Amino acid sequence: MKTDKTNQERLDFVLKAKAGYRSDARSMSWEEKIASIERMRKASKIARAGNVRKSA
Amino acid sequence: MKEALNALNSLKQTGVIEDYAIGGAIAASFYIEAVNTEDVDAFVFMSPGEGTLLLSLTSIYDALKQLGGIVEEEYVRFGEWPVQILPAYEPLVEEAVKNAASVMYGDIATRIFTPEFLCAIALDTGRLKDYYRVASFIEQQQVNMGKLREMVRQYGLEERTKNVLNWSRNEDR
Repeated sequence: MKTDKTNQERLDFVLKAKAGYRSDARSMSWEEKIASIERMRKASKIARAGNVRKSA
Repeated sequence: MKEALNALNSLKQTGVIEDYAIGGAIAASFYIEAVNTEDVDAFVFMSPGEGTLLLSLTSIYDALKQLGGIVEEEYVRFGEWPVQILPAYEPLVEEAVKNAASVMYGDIATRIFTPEFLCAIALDTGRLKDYYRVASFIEQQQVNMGKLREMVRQYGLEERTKNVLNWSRNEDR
């Protein structure tokens, strides 16, 4: 996809988005973080199951 | 998670254990960004049974089963969360349990290791993910470096700090 943005502008956008994500992640309550870990666990369980099926 | 914490509190209230504190990634997530983990590490103080000097986890596992836990290998699962019971087995971990912070998970009171003890134990454990955890605490400015350096000296962990990428960048803190 072609845009008018320069590489510097793209980099700035990514860095800003990443900083925003990290700030959100850090401002979560402990319960929200545990809920997030629960989602990560589910996702990795699904990923592992997928790998097993592929390798079987 | 609530079932697991209620069960641990119940162990303490009924005298099965003297005290407990949560360590590992679950405790770390109280202070820093959450990272994936498979279990809850619960470090416990317990007295040897009558007539023996040996510590046995049997009484803890039996009590946790009565509280609805399901024993799976070395874990006791409550809902989605496997809990690993780890006796406070060395001075560093004993001190960590004694000095644990009282916090709330929703409406449930619990105890977790302080950032400095989490980092010192991570250095002592010494896996790649443990060094990453220490680096994260430093990067996110969630650990008192003065206190941590003191513990590193006290417990002879100086060599391990070489494996923490941002350790020396924080000499003034």
